Amino acid sequence: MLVAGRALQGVTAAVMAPQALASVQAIFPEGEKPLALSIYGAIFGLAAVVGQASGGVLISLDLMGLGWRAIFLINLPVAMLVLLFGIPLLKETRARDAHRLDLGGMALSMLTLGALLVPLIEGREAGWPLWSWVLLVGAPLLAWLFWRYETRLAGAGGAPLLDPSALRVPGLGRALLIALLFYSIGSFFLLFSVYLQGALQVTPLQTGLAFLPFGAGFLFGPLSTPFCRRLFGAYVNAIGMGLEVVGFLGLAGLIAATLTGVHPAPMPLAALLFVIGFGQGLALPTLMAMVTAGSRRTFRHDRRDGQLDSPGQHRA
Amino acid sequence: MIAGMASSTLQVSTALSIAVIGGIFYEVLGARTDPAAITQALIVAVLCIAFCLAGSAALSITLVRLAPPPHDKAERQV
Repeated sequence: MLVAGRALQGVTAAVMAPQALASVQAIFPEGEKPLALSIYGAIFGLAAVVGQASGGVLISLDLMGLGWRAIFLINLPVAMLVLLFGIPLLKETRARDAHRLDLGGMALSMLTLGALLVPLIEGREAGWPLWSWVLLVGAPLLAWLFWRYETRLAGAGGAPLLDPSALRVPGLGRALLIALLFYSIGSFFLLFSVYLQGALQVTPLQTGLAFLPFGAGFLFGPLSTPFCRRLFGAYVNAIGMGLEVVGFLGLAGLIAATLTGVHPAPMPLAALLFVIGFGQGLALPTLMAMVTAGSRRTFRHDRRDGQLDSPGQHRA
Repeated sequence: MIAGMASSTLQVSTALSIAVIGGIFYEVLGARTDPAAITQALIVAVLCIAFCLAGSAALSITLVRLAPPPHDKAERQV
């Protein structure tokens, strides 16, 4: 039940998140986009702080004896607020050309991801049984089927979930690979929480609060992106991730230098988490700009030429 | 479409990160649950994340050299 509910939440969030990003692209004129993306990044950071801290508070309040289950209630009032404010705001940005949903592509992409993720998580816990290997071997096959299906759909003039020609745009594949590695940080929050609560016996509330410096950095990072971009140009993205690397190496060093079971010195810990958050926030708007702007430009070009498969033209 | 790809990459990456790096964490942990084991597993996981980010930063630099993004209009050669 919980897993099914979370899956539904994931699907709906996945439907919504691109819309938020696309709205930024649609609403703001070219000159204001960097600032808009920066604010988008900062709000992402603010949401991460508020989310982490309020999660900790909710668990410690133990509403109605729900314990940790209470964290899922947080989504209800937030979703209602978004519904209230979002609907009037978004009426203006209606899609100009509505496409039919690519249900086959959706099913194949979900199967591919499932075949990859389920064995990695469940299979590992079960000690790598045969089915997990079968799924892992099947994942590239499914991915290939997905690719073939999308290519054929695009060729037939349909609206594929993922247009393969878009990925052949020079640099876009690399930008997406950067994004993939960039979000390796996704596991940090979970694992650091396990460490704080499992190895240091820190309460859930304090765990939530421990991430505050990260959130503060994640809030200030995107806001300073436009300024840093003037100084360093497009290298801001690499600089932000470089800061994160420094922060993580420092964190590993700090934890290694601290006696087992002892909480690391709070000030250096907070400073390192701030650096990691700041780097993440600094790199995020430029990363989004890299992926959306670069591809959009070339994609539009492709469409105008009426020829979807022509990366060579752009180098000419 | 492209925003969708960026956002899907975000979702998929986070899921993969938790599956792969989380997997490494629990693999290092094994059957143990003592503070020393958790600390050791966390250090390994944090180093993995740092490694991924370093790779990402290096790729980012090569991408900038490949084609200056559109906000550097002066340097752009299309």
